[in-house]
Amino acid sequence: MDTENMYEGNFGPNPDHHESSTAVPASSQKTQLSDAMEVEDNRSAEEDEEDEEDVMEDDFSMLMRAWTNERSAPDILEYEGATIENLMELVDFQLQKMKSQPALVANILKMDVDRVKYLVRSYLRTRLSKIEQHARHYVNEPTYSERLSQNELDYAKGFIGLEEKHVRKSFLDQLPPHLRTVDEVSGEGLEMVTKPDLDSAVFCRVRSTVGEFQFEASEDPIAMKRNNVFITRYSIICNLLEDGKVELL
Amino acid sequence: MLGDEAFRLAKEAKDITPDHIPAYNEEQVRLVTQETRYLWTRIEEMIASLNSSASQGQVSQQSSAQPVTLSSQTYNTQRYSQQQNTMEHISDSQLEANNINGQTALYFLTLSRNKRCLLAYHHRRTQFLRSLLWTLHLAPSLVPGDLSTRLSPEEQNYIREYARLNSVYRDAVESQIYPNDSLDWVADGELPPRDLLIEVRVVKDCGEIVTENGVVNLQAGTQHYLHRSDIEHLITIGYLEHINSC
Repeated sequence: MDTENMYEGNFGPNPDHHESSTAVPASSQKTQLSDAMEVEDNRSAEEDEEDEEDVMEDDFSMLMRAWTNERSAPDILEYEGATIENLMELVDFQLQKMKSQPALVANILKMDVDRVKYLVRSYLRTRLSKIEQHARHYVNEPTYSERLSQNELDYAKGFIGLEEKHVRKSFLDQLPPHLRTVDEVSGEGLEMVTKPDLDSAVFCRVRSTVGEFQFEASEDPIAMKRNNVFITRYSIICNLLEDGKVELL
Repeated sequence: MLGDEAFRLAKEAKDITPDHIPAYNEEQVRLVTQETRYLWTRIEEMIASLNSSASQGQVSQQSSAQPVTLSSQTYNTQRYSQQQNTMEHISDSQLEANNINGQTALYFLTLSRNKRCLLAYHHRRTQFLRSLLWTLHLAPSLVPGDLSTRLSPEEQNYIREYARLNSVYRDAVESQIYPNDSLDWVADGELPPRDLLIEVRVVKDCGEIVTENGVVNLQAGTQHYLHRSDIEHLITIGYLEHINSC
């Protein structure tokens, strides 16, 4: 991975959020993922404190963030059911309002509605494709099955059934009875139930100052200030992500 | 040779590219399952002979005297017993038992490898089919004819059931979060909508379509400026062509 290049350029889907944090190419040549590397920004401490206050987020930016997180995280995250429902109510309201507007305004509103729909659609579809990848694991592990909506859980179960039926019909029923399982662990520790790789590398931006944070047990803690960007292993920051202290890029 | 058939199958699985899928190789799948069944009966025979010789020949080691059970753990137990055996005095019958142990272990590995290859082959194919279906608006009827001849009956069934599974999910979601309108669930998901209206050229005659703003006659060769959501499905199936203005 060419880390040098990845530090340059715009990190977020939402450039406004980012205006004053200029990404500087990291001077460090280390490419090991274990070294959580920091991209500095030249935002002053005062500005930081001011920004801490604007924590009220509207539903759209919340879903936007959930969507980006979902797309970058290796495993499935909490379902943003309430946010989506609020947003769709707004969409409904917008569509009602549109009827009494002149054509130009109506068109702009329609565009807006289309984009919200795209976001919701893409969010749900990203989740579906993640569910398909590790359906059995997500259904078996209570921590994960709690994160799915009821519909998604039904989908995951249906998908497992479908896959199993397909391999059974295609060849498994013709194998000796002892080889017909689909969830065994082989002699070399290879499991048939696939799991997401929680140690994969992710970029994350700090949303509210965390303070000193221990990335690796063997290394010194690193200060995590608002708007700093780090590349690190997902498993290290997944708790911070759950608390909403960092967002993925 | 041992495992060759499975290797060929694995190689075919690798031949699947995002826009091409080779025909379902029923023959090869049959050969691999056949080999697997044959190896299994051989293992059963060998273990039966091992158990009977163990009970007759009074082998001193506990580990090999125990009747070996047929399970996926067999291979591990055998490896363990082999390690024990090498440390101690080896009798003739023990040597024979070791030979058999080695052979069963090899066969066992081949068995699980065959199974993995079979699973991988089918998995790669269903993966391809799923992504294909998404580009076709999850409508099994839109799968091109030459492609569906290359699929096995099970795979065609899989496509239909996958589409059904998705429509169940979509209906449940839409009735829950958005009861009054549709989410355009299957619209092109790759890019966010940029413009409300897009310019399209008609490639094949579609006749008249009804849009929000009235009826449009789509004759081959004509160009129109239309709402994306109204005609998106016609672009996907190739009746219209999207002209990029920029």
